[in-house]
Amino acid sequence: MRSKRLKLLCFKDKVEILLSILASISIVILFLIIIFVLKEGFPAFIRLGFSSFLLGRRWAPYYEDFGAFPLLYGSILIVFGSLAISVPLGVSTAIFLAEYSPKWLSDMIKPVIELLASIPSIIYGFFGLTFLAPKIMEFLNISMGKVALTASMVLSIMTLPTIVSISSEVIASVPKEYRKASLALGATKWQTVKSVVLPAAKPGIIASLLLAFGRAVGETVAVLMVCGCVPQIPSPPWNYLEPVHALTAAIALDMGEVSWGSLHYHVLFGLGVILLAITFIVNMIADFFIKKAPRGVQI
Amino acid sequence: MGKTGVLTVAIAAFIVGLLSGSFALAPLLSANQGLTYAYPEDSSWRTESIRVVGSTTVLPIASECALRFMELYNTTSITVEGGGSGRGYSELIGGLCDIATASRKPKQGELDKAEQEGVTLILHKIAIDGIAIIVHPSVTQNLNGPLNLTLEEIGKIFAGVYSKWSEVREGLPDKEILVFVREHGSGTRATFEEFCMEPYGLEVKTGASEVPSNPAMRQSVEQTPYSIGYIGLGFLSGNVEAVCVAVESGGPFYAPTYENVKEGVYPLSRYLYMVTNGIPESGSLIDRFIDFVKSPEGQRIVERCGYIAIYPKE
Repeated sequence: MRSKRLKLLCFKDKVEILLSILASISIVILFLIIIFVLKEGFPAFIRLGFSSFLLGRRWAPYYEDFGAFPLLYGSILIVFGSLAISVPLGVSTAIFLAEYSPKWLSDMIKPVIELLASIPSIIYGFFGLTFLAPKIMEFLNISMGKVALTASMVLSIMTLPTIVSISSEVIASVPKEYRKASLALGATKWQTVKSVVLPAAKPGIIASLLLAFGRAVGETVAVLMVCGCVPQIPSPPWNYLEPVHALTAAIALDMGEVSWGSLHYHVLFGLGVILLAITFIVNMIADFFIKKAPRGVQI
Repeated sequence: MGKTGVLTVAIAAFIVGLLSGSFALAPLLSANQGLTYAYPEDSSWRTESIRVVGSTTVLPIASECALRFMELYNTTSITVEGGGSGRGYSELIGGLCDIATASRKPKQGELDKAEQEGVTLILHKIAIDGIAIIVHPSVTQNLNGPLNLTLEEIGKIFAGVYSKWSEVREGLPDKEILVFVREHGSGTRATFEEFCMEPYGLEVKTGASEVPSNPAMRQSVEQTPYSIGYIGLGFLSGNVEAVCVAVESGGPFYAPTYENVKEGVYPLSRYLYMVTNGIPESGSLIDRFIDFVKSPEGQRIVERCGYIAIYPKE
């Protein structure tokens, strides 16, 4: 114990000192940002009241009406829609890549899917705005193409790489002994995958979904371009064919023009606090699942 | 000589190349001077740099004028940014920019903030802009001429009093009206609300879709059948129909054209401003630049951008 503590305090050489200073800078910056957002966002919760801000049904900044519920609901609706598309697609792609496809094929597919992650989000926005939205409008015969479904579809493409690359790594890292033992008992390949490999990899797969959720809920530009920016709760509430508004889109739309220090300014930071809280909680849960992964399965 | 040596030589060569390049260009650029009226050579404004921030409506004027100004006086530096009238006012009050551009007068909150910070907002009129009400061509397909609406009818459409086009006027399609508006800080929105909503005690309905800029507005209306929106006159183009507007029912209805706005008969028009903190010091770059925008050459740029000049162009 004593030697451990000593080790913590005594730096071996200059490089170690430099590295630890640089490492602490990023942590300090992170905390400063969180403190800043909380400090600027707090007045909104106080002046509007916690529940009337969070649960208020009308978002109309021009008339000083700041009910964040339609934005919160829109964000959640879009993100769940995107996961509903990307989870089945992503997880089955991951299973195929890790278990079934020959090595040369997965060596070809994986970089392509990872390339999806490196495309700037505004490009996805453009694609959604100029191609997807008109097609959806035409195909479903609705009056406006920029609806929750469009946003969900764009987001699902954006979150696919996260799900596929993490899940396939996790599935591939399930120890060979598990599979061999299962096959030795006479199970077929699919039975092995279904009953042995997937349960072992489950915490990792769930973690990948949660990380994808975090990415989707924080995505701004693409959502701003395709969600329609109508701060309403669709009727019925699960109607994906109506335009909605999202927390991130509302911040991006209004931030440029808000007068500093006004209530609206604080409200936008308040939306930031809500967003931060959502991603924070989701990442905590993801961390919990990562730690829960069985021995030998790496995430 | 190691790798670093080679790199140093390369960088040095690059810098020398850049310097000689700019020296070679310098006489060419300064040859442009003297096309407009010349200022005394000894003044210090020639080496100053300023930042102009604000309205997306004024943005084309400000950036074109800044480009031309820097071409004439190549040692000055003028940075131009958009972001909206609200951003312009707040940055000027916060001391973050030298000139704010605005397509509306300051709101009460902004005036209070300015007083609190000891900033005096001086508004310099630089041009007039009209706001065109635009609809998708599908709305007017059965009409022989343009669509005529009064300010109150427009207000009622945006407020959601009318939900279908057929309720507004007979002969219009029996389809739901889709409404596009600008975000809260937009000067275009402020002017629109001042003319069409506030006088009739109306508020834009919740189902209206918000778009962040003039080009985005045009694109949205273009793409969406049975939709309506509003846009700065300078951005009026493409596959949208402009609505003819009257103050009272029965007319006369005026189309949003330069002539109508210039003569003051088109009801939806407003001044565009450059705003400074106090009266700019005579002989400073801020003063020179605003002078340039008001000069015949600046006003020609104003017209070229699609707005109406207010100072003589000759």
